[in-house]
Amino acid sequence: MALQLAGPSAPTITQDDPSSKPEIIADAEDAEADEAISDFRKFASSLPGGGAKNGGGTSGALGKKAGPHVSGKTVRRGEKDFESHGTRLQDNALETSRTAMHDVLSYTRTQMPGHYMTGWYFPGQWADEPTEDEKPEGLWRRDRVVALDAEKGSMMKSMGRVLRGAPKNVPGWDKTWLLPEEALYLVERGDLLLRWPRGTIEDIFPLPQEEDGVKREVARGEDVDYELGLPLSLQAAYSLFIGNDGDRGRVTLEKFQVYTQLRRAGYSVSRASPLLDPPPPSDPQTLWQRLFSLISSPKPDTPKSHPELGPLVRPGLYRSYASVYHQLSLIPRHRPTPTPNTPAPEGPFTVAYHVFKSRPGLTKTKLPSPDFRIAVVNARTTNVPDLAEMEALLDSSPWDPPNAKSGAGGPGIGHMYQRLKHGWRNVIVAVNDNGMVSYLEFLETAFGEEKLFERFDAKPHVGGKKSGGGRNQKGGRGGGRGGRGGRGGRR
Amino acid sequence: MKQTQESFPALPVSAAGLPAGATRETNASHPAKGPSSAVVPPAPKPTPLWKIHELPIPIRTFPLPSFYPSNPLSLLHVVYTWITQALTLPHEPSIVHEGIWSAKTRSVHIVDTKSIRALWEQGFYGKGSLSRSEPNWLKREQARSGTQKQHVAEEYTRQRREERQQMKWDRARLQQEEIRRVRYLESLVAPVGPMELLRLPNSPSDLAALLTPSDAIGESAGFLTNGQAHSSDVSASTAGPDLRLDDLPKLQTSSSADTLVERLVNGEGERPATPKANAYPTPPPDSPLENVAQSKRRKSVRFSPKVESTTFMHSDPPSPGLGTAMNGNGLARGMDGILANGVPPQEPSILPLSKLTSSIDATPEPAQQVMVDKEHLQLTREETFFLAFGLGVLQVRDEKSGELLSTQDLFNTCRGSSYFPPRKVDLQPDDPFLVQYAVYHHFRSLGWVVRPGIKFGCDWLLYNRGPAFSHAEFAISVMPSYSDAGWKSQGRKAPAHNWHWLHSVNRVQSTAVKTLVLVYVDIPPPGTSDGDVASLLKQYRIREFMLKRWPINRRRD
Repeated sequence: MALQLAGPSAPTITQDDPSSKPEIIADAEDAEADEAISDFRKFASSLPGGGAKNGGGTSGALGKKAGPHVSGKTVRRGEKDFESHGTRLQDNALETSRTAMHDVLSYTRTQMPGHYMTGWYFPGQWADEPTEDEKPEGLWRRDRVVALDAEKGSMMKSMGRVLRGAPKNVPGWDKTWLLPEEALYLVERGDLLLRWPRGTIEDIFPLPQEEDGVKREVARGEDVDYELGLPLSLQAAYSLFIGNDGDRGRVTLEKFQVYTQLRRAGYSVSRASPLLDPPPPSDPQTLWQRLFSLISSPKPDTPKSHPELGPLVRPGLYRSYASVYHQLSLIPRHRPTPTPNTPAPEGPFTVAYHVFKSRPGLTKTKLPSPDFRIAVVNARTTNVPDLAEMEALLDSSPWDPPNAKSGAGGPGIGHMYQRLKHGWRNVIVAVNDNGMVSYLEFLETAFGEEKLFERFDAKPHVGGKKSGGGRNQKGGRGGGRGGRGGRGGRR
Repeated sequence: MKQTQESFPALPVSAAGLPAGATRETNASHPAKGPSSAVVPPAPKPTPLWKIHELPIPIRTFPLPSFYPSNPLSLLHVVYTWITQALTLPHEPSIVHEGIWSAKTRSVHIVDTKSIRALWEQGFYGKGSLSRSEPNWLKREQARSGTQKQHVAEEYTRQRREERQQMKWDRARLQQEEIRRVRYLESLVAPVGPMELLRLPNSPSDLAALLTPSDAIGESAGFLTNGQAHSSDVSASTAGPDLRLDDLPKLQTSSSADTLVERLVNGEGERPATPKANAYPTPPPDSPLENVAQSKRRKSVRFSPKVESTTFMHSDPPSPGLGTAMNGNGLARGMDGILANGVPPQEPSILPLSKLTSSIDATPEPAQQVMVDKEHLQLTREETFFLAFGLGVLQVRDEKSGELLSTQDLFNTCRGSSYFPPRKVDLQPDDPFLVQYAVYHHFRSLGWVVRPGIKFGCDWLLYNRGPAFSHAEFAISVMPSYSDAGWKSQGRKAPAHNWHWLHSVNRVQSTAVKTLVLVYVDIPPPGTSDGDVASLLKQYRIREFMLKRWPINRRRD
């Protein structure tokens, strides 16, 4: 028997809309680099059961063969014709796309029993646990509100946690518990059937009896499950899990949209527990270096005194430009340090998610240091961060100075640009404007660490080549699209 | 016209009216010198760029030659250099340039030609008042008039633009040809689809109405065989009524002076020539009918093959360049009168067409006169103050009194004029000038060439070595920050920028392959503006944050 997930068929049609729409737009944004361009026609043909040629009304036929993998597909945009030129070729293409789009939108997703998991909504189970601020361990115990019967499928490699250290006399202690965004994402994908329990948690996850010590499993099936709890629709799941910042067991809509978008793009995402970050590495100075630094204190960056009314460069004879620029140094320059003492970030500019590139051997119980850290803000209610917010946000992320490994070790000007662009710290801010998300990477950089004037004393290149280095990987625009609609010129 | 030119020196140069006016003035002040000046001097061997811009700042250094232990003679060289330098005692900066503070433009004008070149070449300071950035108006004019064979950067830009235009046009033509080909091939197939059957004519009258488009099909078939023959047809649909540049030489060679003038006057022949339009140099200025009927029509007027076309409204006074350029200096005063009064005097401007055409043959090329450089260099306040206070290579005189401004006076002038209206009192440490200057000084003192970035929607652009060598790599947006408790108690806050602003700026930078840097300037507490300049500037704190788009699909690996 095929089970429709969210009740009547009307919601299932629109079911995919809120989540897939941002992706279409995000893809359009990056289409310049996306060589593989496909469109609704291709998407429709990738659906099980044929796609475009069927001409609609085939949901019943499709439903029989439908598998869970359909929700994993996304629509990319295709080529655009900007005006009608009255050829039959164009008319046909338009008509095919239109039919394909109709097919895609009217497609009913169905799930076979055994292809989805069952979860139970217990919002109050871990309400008394310590908060993440009190006991940082990356588990977010208080916020886990959905218990799974059993893990199933590859999705669970990076989602849900068994709460280690939970007392064994609490029912559900050995179950996998989901965060609200994880549960909602699984419901959206059709991987999870959420149930509202009629009774208490003991009815569903009974503890083993004291006397026999044998674990009792209730014989379960569709009918028994229905007795124990009501199935919840997607709309119900949204209303249960979406809330304001700080609500226990809920997630803001902005964060959820960013979470799903990152998941669909293929990343592993976990809730950030900023205090879990490893301490910055201690200064890797050898004994010799330390002794040496005692003898020769480095030349101070700024001269001790300045002429009050200038000129800062005192008239005279100069042997090198370094000595001239040394006198010009007036405004203190920022030096990045591994251990800043800025207060912890507050408000929206806080790292919300740790993001991992998908790689083999990534387990949810032993996560490595994340590849990216993402803060999520609402584009309409927040502004570009001010200095305090920016400092707090960036200083909460770990020390990541440019080094030879990041391809920035050389002396050339291109390497210098690379070092500056690598930065000393970085955080990604996802700016969410009602579902359209723009990701911006903010880097703490320090121009004072790269003294351009030190190059002036070198002898000039005879021949005067244009030294436009550091322009790697940017081969100008318009490779794929022929540079239409923009000059791409720069001065 | 002269007046406007001086009070607004940043007038766009692209309008051909300005050079034409300048040509007129040179013409008036320097009568024709005769055929000797017609000899075009050969182009001098171009100086390499690194040699022109050898000094990164207007200060020269005197490094001692290096001593090689393997070569004892090099010691002698070192000693000799040292002794000569000790005797001559070079004192840098050797030249202190002079500028004039212009309150109207809120900038400092450098008029001395040598200073202009020095400040531009040694660190890329300022902007030519008649140029886009490098002060090369004279060079451009000479190259245009053919007196000097010079390479001007603007010329290359123009050429590139033309090529790009041509490329786009060719692409559009190919697309159109492809569409026509498809349409032709489809016209060979009998209509079968429901829509096509519905579109078939129902009656003979419908058929007759359809015959015209069917002609077009036949034409497209001919077009296919002919190739280029119908290209102008396509251009008419894609590029509009503008004449293509390729057609211009053809046009000029084929037409006599008479038809040339007629064409020019008629705006490239976009409408049939009427006798009235023929006599256009003397339009009845008060005939209301003509004015009302045609005042909205824009006309493209071309004076001679050398002078670029420009656009005039029909209600404008008769073109000044035409009369003077054709007729020598006789009309110059009359034209000035026109300009001053705004009403064209009747009598001198009446020129029979025959006289006009004969004067084309009679007068020698007016552009061969000696040109006077009308351009000056404009320095922004930040550039001025850095040159004066930081490097000590600039002195500024007051416009009215002609007296030298002291550094403190210059500082206060710059700060006060960063407000509107300019103020003399109540200067705070968050003056727009001071905040911007802190950033300017910060990057200049690190060796970057810092240029204003308004064209890229940011505050400053950072060049390595200078715009002549490389593109700007970084774009700076200055973000003032009032984090001191004193400011907070006053309720003073930096203007909030929304995310749309940030994305627009960042998008512009990424299309120009630059990286946006948000530079936060933490402003010292209120009331600290007293005291000397250096200790005030030391209290600013600068943090740089770079910004990149993070494309979600490309960072996954």
